[in-house]
Amino acid sequence: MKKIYHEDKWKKYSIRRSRRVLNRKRVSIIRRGIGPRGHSKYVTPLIYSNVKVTKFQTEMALPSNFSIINNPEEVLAFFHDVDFFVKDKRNIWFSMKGINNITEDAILYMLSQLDYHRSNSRNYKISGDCPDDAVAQSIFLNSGFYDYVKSKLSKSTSRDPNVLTIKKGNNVNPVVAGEVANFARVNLSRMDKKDSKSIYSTMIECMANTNNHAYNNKDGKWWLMARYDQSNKKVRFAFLDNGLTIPSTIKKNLKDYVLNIAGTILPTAKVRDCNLIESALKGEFRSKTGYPFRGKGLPKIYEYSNSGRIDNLAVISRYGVVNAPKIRTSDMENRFRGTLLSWDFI
Amino acid sequence: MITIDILKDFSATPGARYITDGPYSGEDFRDRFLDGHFADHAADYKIKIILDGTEGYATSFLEEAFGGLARKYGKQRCLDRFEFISEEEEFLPREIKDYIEHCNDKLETKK
Repeated sequence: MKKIYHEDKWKKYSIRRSRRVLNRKRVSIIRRGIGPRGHSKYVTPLIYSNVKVTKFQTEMALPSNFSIINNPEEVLAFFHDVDFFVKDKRNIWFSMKGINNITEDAILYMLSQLDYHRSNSRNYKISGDCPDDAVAQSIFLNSGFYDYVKSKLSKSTSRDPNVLTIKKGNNVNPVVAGEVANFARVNLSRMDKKDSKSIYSTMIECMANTNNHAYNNKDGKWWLMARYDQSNKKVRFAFLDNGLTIPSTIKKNLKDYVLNIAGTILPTAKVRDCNLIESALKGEFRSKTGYPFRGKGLPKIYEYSNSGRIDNLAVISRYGVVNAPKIRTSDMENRFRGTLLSWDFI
Repeated sequence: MITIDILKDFSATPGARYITDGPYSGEDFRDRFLDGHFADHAADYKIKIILDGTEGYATSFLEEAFGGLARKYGKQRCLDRFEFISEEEEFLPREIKDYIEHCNDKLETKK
């Protein structure tokens, strides 16, 4: 007699049933935040609240204040959970409709994270819409974001002369640095070539830092964007790389090592990332090459900030945030992947 | 005396330190425009460097071009022979001389 369990019909039913059960378990695990598929022993609690998990898709609403400079914790919590769902090979939908404030730094970070997942993960899909708010939508569409992702909207969007669209590179590119300086000159009409030299050299310093310090394998990538803020009459720049970060690449001194050992017993004693960044900005002999004639790029940028040639300088790297010229330091709870420099030119 | 105008002779957009970093680097400038004048140890004519007119300079460019040259041929020789002209950024000549003077601090302390 033929057994029922050997029939094709039964086998198909059985496969469908086991898939259903597995999927229910996955959704349940994700909702409880135990860990992504295949990584369940690593406990990665979900920390971003605005997520809707369904059977086929994970819909993530971006923070309404989508700005790393103004709202770092929420934005980084969002990207922390994106990592989780990418590892889980989920289809992710970025819902951007609720955004009412968006800044250049966050757009660059989103792009760098997409690039990171593209080179580190397989079988994932991220798609999304764009903000409903008119100003936020205009900034996003004019940023040139769609030039770097697959999209139907993409390249046909008309360009806003107040926005220098996103540039990407993996080397020091003097032509792009010159374009950035020229953009500032055109928008701040009273400025001449002499005044924009600090912009140009800051850009070259940033690109050189990416190339020399941010990556071990010399395959570094950077993104930059600038926008003229008409209401405040200033040009805002953002420069980002997703490399190894300042705190992990600068030279540690004996005091840092001692404090880090003490930090295993007393966590407050541990060297904070923001202090390491501050130290690098002040040029306290932190070049990993060991040569005093190296590592002058960040101190130069800090000097420009102190002399008032650039304004509102902010440096974010790993967990640390440093604002200049009046040094304000803080550490974040969520990790920033890479280094961001942002500043204004008035 | 010979004159090197960086804008006219080299580039309006000087780059970073090494040739591997990208175009118009300090190393490239040193190799193409400065090394030749120092190869002959007896040469003592002055070299005027005009810094004006470019988009600007990164510290790494200046350090590698002039500090790098001083590491090769000696500080004093470089200080004696260079004359820097910069009307747009008056602090630049002083800064470059500083790079030359401190070009090999670590090497000296090691000795």
